[in-house]
Amino acid sequence: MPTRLDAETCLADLTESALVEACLAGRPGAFDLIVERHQRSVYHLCCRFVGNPEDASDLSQEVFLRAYRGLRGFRGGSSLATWLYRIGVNVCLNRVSARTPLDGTTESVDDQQYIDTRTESAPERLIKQQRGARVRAAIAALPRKQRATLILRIYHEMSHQEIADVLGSSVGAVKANFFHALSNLKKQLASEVL
Amino acid sequence: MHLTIEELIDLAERTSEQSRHPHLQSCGLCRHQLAELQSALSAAAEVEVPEPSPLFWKHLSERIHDAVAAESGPPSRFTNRGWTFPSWRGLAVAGAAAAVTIAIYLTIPQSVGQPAGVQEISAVPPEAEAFPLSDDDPSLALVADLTSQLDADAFDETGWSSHAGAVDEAVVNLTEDERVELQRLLNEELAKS
Repeated sequence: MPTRLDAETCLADLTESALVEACLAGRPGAFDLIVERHQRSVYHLCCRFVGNPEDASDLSQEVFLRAYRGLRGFRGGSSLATWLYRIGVNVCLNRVSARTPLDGTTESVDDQQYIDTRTESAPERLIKQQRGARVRAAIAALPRKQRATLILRIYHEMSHQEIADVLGSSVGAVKANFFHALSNLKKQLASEVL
Repeated sequence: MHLTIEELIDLAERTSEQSRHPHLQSCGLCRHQLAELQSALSAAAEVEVPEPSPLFWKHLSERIHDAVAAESGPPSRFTNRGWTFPSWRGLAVAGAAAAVTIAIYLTIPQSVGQPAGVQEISAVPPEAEAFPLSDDDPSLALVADLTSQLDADAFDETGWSSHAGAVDEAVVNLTEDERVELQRLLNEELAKS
């Protein structure tokens, strides 16, 4: 009879699609493993989208809840990560459209205390933190599709085609959104030395 | 001819060689645009998300685990038929809305010569237009309370639509178990009013 440890070991060895199957079959721990594997990237996506950790945490939970509800609809046509990003972008877009102005613009320096900056001096660290907060706030203030495109392209290294799939648009539209996102970002940061 | 947006993006991301675009050598405007894009790109790329404490990930996965467990809900007589929490919420909303519909119907004066209860619920008599539906009607507040927790997806899952007779169709299509539960909900709501 397999022990709990054996079962977990087996789960960890499963391929992505087999893990989804295990989850749909009601195997204990299967969805927990999906969460464990993807929570960091989903959280980062949400955090970059809304600009503050508290909302990002709530949104991440919402993303996984929706994923759990819709797991049966996952066909394996894309990777699980891409599928989760698609849900994440939709959740973030819905949240952003329901909130104006963005809470992200209120990010404090205290929110950045966990960045590993041990090799930097205190003034360098402070300047970098302030600069990072300004860029994050500028990104969080971009129009929604531009923001989604920029985040997925730069931070999640998705191809233009993958982004087009996530956003339900064309590669041309993705490149146009990316162009305008970068142009607007540049304008918003114009007062700073880039 | 100036470079297109796509060409500029490809150059900024270095997926295309500048040597393939001789126009760039002679056009200050395109060079400036490209420099602006590259500058914004590198500014954005060097920004990291504040890394939460190591404990954060444990707490987040536990939160999600609990939320998913709550979503699955405790075993009920509907569980083996695949009923989930959103559908259950939908049934509650449907029940409450049906209660309101029936309550409104019962309080509307019937047409002369029209036997009470003969009409379909959806076939509201003309007098209903004059029926004073107040914004602070408690029955409407009840529906508002129940639906306030529904997002678009959850609403879709309720199977509700806005066409005439939707409530009748929903009630007709209920199974025996669902009908019993709806009856219980209706009794509960009517007892309150």
